[in-house]
Amino acid sequence: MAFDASSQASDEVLLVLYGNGDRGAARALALRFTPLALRVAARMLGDRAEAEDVAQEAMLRLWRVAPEWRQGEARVSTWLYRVVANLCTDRLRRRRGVGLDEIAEPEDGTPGVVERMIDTDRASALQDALDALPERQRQAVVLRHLEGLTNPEIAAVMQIGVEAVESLTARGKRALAALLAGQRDELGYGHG
Amino acid sequence: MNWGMAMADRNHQADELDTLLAAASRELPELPPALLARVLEDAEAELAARAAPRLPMAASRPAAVTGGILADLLALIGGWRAISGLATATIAGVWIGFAGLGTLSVTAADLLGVSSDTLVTFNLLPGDDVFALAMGLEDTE
Repeated sequence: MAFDASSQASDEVLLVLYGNGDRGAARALALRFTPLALRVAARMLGDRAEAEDVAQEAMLRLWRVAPEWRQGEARVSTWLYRVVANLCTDRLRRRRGVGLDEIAEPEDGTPGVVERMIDTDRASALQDALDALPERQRQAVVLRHLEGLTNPEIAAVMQIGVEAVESLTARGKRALAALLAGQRDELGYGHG
Repeated sequence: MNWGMAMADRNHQADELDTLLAAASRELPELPPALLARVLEDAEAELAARAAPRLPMAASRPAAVTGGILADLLALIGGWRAISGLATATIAGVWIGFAGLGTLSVTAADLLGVSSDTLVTFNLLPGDDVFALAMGLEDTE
């Protein structure tokens, strides 16, 4: 049976089919979920090459879990978001060499962070600001405002309570706004 | 800047951030063909890896299959006890074929501890049933 990314087959059905050796289902899953994994990893890591590695690793874990996938326990997308988030966390910790929880959250308008934003492109500025956020805040903001997940969905991905999600997204947005405030003119918002 | 202006400016910044985030959420990076190829290679390799451990089992499969078929047949018939019963019945049938019914009646008479005369007239069915008729015919021969 032929599938594509827009196939009506549900994620779980495709995963079960792949678990049974269906290569068409594998292709449909790859087309459906690799962009998701790549998008989130790129936002979390701010590095395209690393994000591609994470996306591939996350998809590999999906292939491996397929035979044991228990239907109805979790959505495939939620599971994948969680895997991507964990892989990104691991890489960020290795990259920085210290626990991210130990890093102080940036004060509003930290000059050093703003000064590092040399790219005037809005997307790049946003990515730079995201990169400056503490990892948990960044993850919550990316999932809420860029991936469009609901707070309960984010809670499931991050394995925390909904209130903690609300707190993280609120603090993340405030920090983002502060980080971007110094770039308003360069981003074309200064005269509006 | 008074408090009202500060609040207005903060709200304006929040709106700008929402606009920026909304625009970013619509940016969907293209899936690089090379990455898709790598992902599909992994999927294929996983399928192959899952099939591989079954190969040694497949090599020893014929013996297992043979045992399985025999076991299935035995179970279907009723086990080894049923087989021994069948074998006994078969041997008895062959023996009857060689020895003939007359010899059988003698042997049966011996087994039952009665005389052959008694056996010939031993009739479970009333009247001229087929068995009695056959025995009668045999006596006349």
